[in-house]
Parts: sequence; structure tokens; C-alpha cells
Amino acid sequence: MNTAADIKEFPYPFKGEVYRYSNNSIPLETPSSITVTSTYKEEMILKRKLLENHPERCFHSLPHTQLAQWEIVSTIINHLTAYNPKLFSLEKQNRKWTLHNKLLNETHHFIYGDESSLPWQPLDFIGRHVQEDLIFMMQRDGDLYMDAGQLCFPANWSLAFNAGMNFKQIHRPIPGFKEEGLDDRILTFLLKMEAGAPWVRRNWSLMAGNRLDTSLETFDQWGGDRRKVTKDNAGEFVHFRVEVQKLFRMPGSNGVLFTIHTHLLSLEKFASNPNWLKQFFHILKELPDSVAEYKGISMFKEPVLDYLRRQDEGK
Amino acid sequence: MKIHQEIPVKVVEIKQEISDVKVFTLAPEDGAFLPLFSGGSHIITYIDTGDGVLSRSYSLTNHGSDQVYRIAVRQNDNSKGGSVYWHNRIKIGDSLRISYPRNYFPLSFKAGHHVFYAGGIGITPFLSMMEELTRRGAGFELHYTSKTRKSCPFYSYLKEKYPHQSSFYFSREKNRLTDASLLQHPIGTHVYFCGPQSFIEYFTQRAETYGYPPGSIHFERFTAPQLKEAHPFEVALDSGRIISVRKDQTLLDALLEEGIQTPYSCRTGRCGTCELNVIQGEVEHFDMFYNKEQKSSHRVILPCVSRAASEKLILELNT
Amino acid sequence: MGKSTPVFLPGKRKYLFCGDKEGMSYLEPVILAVKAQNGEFETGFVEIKKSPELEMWLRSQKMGSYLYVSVCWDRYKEIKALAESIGFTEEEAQFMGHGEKIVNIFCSRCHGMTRIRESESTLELKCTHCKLILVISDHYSLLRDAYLGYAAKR
Repeated sequence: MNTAADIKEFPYPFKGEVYRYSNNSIPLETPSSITVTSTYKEEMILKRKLLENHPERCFHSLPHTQLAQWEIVSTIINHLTAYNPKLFSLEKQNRKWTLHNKLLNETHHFIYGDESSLPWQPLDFIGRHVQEDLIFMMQRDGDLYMDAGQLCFPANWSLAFNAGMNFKQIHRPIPGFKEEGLDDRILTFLLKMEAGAPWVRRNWSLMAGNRLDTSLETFDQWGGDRRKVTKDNAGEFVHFRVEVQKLFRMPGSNGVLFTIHTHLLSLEKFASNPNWLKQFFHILKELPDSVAEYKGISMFKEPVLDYLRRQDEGK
Repeated sequence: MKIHQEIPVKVVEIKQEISDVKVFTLAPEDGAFLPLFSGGSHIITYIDTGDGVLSRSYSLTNHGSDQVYRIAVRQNDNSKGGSVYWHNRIKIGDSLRISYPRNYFPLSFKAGHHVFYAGGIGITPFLSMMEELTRRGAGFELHYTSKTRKSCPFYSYLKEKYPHQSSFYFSREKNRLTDASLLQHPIGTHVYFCGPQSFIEYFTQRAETYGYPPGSIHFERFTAPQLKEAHPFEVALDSGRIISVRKDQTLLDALLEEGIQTPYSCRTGRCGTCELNVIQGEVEHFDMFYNKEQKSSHRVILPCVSRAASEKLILELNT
Repeated sequence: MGKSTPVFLPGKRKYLFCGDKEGMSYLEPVILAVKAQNGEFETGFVEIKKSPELEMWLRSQKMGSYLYVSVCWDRYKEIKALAESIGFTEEEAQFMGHGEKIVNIFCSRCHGMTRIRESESTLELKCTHCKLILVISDHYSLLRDAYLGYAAKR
């Protein structure tokens, strides 16, 4: 399925000529956890299909997250209706809520706080109306744990395996993350995050193909494509993958909600912006091997560099 | 320059709890809504007095899912005017702004048993915590000290609501709270202290001496640590501009007084929002934000609480 | 997982030692250190104390106690889980295992577990469920009690 977004919607992730892992979070100006883009419908169909066919891979929750899940439902519906009033609306009669999703032409009745009034757990329900993957980190005794999540479009990681891990355990495989003390600094930052002051960060990688579902579980289906990249097919075949991660402190549960919106754009469309092309060419050339390896791009970095060089010289 | 969103509210009820404590109920203005909050949370209230903005932190004393927020304010004649203003000037119907709820004093998740030690108005954060534990069906006890029964806020409420969990100690009635109960708590207990600074220091130190691990000891300071003796000092900015900080004001206040728009939020050395880079000079840190290494580097300062250890600091601040 | 040698932590009200016969021998240096300081301590042999007794013993302890557990790997998880459920935190206990240890490898494709002996350390193995060749990583999940096995790149 081709979900490569329009270039106008693409969140360019770089700020300088050099890329390193860092806490690159900035205050979120429009405090909405959700963005609706032109690929909404096709992504909802894909997401729901994955949830039906692979629930064990796409959803996880620990029992103590029930109240937090309802808080997330309420927060996301608030954002959907406040920022997209023509597309989403909510009627409230005390605890009887009715959600109208006009994009999908759906109406859902449920009783707020009553799980039996929904066909799925609250987080699993609301995730079926937004393009974002939703990760809830519960704060317990001064640390953050991934105690609930709905994840359909992961970048080569497994929700099922990482379930219940704390922040440092989750990030252990990232090269240099611990050694450079980044794990401590970012954890401190997250623990001090406050309600009413959300943050946003952009994470990037390159991939061979345009699958949104690059889960660890399906690696044997897509991992091999990385060997098929040549300097001639890179423009169409290779895609930029940018995750816009928004971070919200949930004051009721005192946890942190991450919403992750994944955008794909073909290298060809990306390179049509001469500033992006120049800057990214420089970044990729000097990217440390360990970072390229972790992002899964070392196997096709050379053909991509060849492609970018040719595009740059052609302009 | 604040980076946090604020919520407009109005005062809908005022209750005289005891002679020097009033309880204020705040409801959202039309179109606004109040977020849920967890046990132990507080808000910052911002009141425009016409002579500047008065910002103060108060614990929320009701339950997190109520549609209103309640705060209890003890009148303190030595304060910089916050509590006096709340007591003498605020009426039903008045409008003000508040921060989103924040929780610097959360309940432990893994604790098998929770024990609260309160001194005077230090009871306030425990009210929402006990309510939350009651709804969860979790075990807790309260040890609450005050000079007399009459000066003990929420005495009758607690006596009625938590008769089996509450023990009261009135120092002027020859019933002092001691550290003896610390020896009796079963394994898996977490202890929480809130009250005057000396109260927190004493009990924290006793618990440590008895072998309590640091992770099982929790406390909340309402105010920035009181300096035994604060000295005036000077700061130089990038531009060469010199600003004097009096001994009775914070560096942040001195900067704001000079019209310098620098970001800040909690004002208690906790959130890190007001961080400034230090180019030269030594810092006396009073915050709870930095670790030991960062403190000893003397490269950063939180101007809301910390001061110069040298006579002068040079700060990186474009004005 | 599990420290190989116990470390004496001074300054606790009371020390608790719990182990099987072999395990107790590893705790001996700490017991001597407690005795040298005239510290209060109690011992409980897991062979003698059945689970309900062990549980009652642990549950009756007060704050300020410090627990050392040294048992064979077969009983390690059960006793650690028991102590943690009673309220002994990481800061209040040390756990050590001895003997043969079995570890689980989590298949990244099918989520099936393959059990191997730790002593038979190997870099790759075949998932016993979906037959995928897995590279064993050091990425560990406490909830799953398993190490992650990635699909081998071929």
C-alpha cells in the first residue's frame, strides 16, 4: 500500500548539518496530540486490519492502566473535536458519550469509565480513530514504564517484547545512548514534564519500500528489501520515514502519553526540495556507522548517497 | 514569558475551616474544563492584584475526578502577602488563573502500606492521597500533629472519615508525636512527610537511621528552602548590564523586576524551566533539579532559588 | 541477573538470611560481618521452611530490615517474587542464584519461547515453534523473563 504522504505535509526532521542522538524535544505550539492528514482513510483501514489479524503484536496493556486509558480517550477526543470540529464531534450526557467520526461515517455510543460499553479496551478503541500509534508510559516510583500501547506502525521494534519495560530498558539497544548519559538526561526530562506543557520531537530513518508496518515480527518479510536498493531505483524505492512524537503529561494518572505519527515520503519527492537534498546529503555522508547500523540503513547507505549526489549535481 | 498553559477559574465557595485556615473552591470559567489530578497534586494560582501577579502553589485537597478544585490556605503574617491576600481580599465570584495540576508528591505504586506524617497545614497533600487510596482499597495510616485541637485543620473531617487510620498528637496537650512509630511499620511501608522544614528534616533523618531505604521515604517542601542567611550579590549579563540582587529577593525576581523576560514556571527549584547558563562565578545551589555533578560544575543556575556563592556571577542572557 | 557475591550493607536494624545449604555458605562472609558489628540477624533455611512459613517469616518483618537470599536457580524466581510481593524492594534485598540456570529466548517473529541452559551459551539457535534462526541478544524483558532473539540476517 502506498501511503507516501504529500510533500507539503512532510515534517522535515533536521535542524543542522550534523545528526546525533539527543533530546531534541521542543515545546509543542498547538497543544493537540493528533494530526489528521490526507492519508487518514487508507491508514485507518490498514491499522484496523493489523489490529484484527495481529492483536498480540499491536496492543498491550497491564491491568492497572484502566483509569489512565480512559483519561487518554477523553484527552484524544478533546483534541480531535477541538481541532477538527467538522470531522469529529462528541455528545455528552453525563457519562453517556457519543462520538461521531464523519471521515469514516461512524457513530460510537459508550459509557465513559465503563469498559463493558466498548468492544475493545479504551486505548484500543480510540486508537482506531487516529493515525497515530499510542504509547502510555506509567510513572511508578520515580520511573516510567511502558504499561500500555497500541502500535501498528513500529520502526523495527516489538511492543510485545518491550511491554512493561522501563525507559532505560527500552532504549538499551540504541548505540551510545547509555554511554553518553542520554538515557539519564532524557528520563529526567520526561519525569519533570508537566501537564499543560506538551513537547514534540521528530525521529527519522530511511527504509527500502513504503511499508508502515515495519514491526520486528515481520522483519523476514521486509528486511531483505534493503539489499535490493540501487542508485537507479533509490528515488522511487527508498522512503524517508519520519515519526512525529508528541509527549503529554496526563495529570489524572500522572503518566506520559506518546502519540507517534509516522510519515513516509519517497526519496524522489524529498530530493525535489533542493535545501533538504543538500542538507541531508551532508548529514548522511558524515553519519556515524553505529547510528546508521541502528537505524537499519547501513546496508543501502552507499546507493542512496550515489543517488543524492547525482540529484544534487543535476540541479 | 510562561511556557505553560493556564486555566481560567472562579471562586465559587469559601469556607472558614479554622480561625486561620480558609478553604476555597474553584470552578472552571465557561468553556474551560478542569483536568483530572492524582493524589498529592498541587496547582499554582495566579492572581492579578493590579500591582503585579501573585503566584502561589497550593495542594489540591479534594478528589481528582471532582469537577472542582479545592485548596486550603493558612494565613501567614510573615508571608510575602500571598496568604494574606487570599484571606482578606478574595471573595466569591472572583476570577483568577491556575496552572494545570502537577504532582511532585505522588503515591508510591509498589508500596504495601502508606503512612502519612503531617505537621499542621502540611496535612493538605495527604487529603487527596488518602481519598485515592480509599477508592483503591489500599491500606494507610495518618500521624498528624498540631499545637492544639483548635489549631488543627480538618480535625473533625479526618476524625469522622478515617477514624481507624488517624492518630492525632497535640503538643500543647502533652501528647507529642515522636519517631517511635517508625519502628513499628511493616516491611513494604512507604512513609510520607509534610510540614515545617524542621519537621521534615527530623523525620527523614530518623527514618534513614532506622534503615529505611531512600526510595521508601517521600516528602514535600511547600516552599523553597529557607536560607539561614542570604547575601546580596550582583550579576553581569552578556550585554554588560549589571543587576543587583537584594538579600530579600531571588535572582529571578531581580531579573523580572528589571523587565528581563526570562522563562520560569515552578519557582521552587524543581521544574528547570528558568535555567540560565553561568559564564563565570560560583553558584550556591538550592534546587532539587540538578545532580551533584551539574551542581559542582557551576555552569548552570536556577535563578528562582539559587544564588551566587561568589560576589558576582556572569550569566549568559541576551537582553 | 542475580549477584554472584553478596555485599554487606551496614546501617540496617536487622539482617535476614535465607538460603539453601549451598547458598548459606555463600552468605557466610556477610553473616560474619553482621556478627562483628553485633548486629541483629535471623536465618531461614529454604529446605526447612516451606513456602507458607517462609512467607509468614518475611511478612512479620519491620521496616529497616535487610534481606539476603541465596538459592539454587530453580527456586530463585519464586522466592524473589514472594519477597517482592511482601514489599522487599531492590534497596532492601539482594538475591543470588547458584547451579544450573535455564534462560528463555523470545522469538521476535512468533513470540514463542525457547528454553536453553545458560552454560550452553550460543549465538544462534532455531526457534522451537516457528523454526526461524534467531540471533540471541542481551535485550532482556523482566515481564517475559526472556532475552530477545532477532531474525538472523541471511
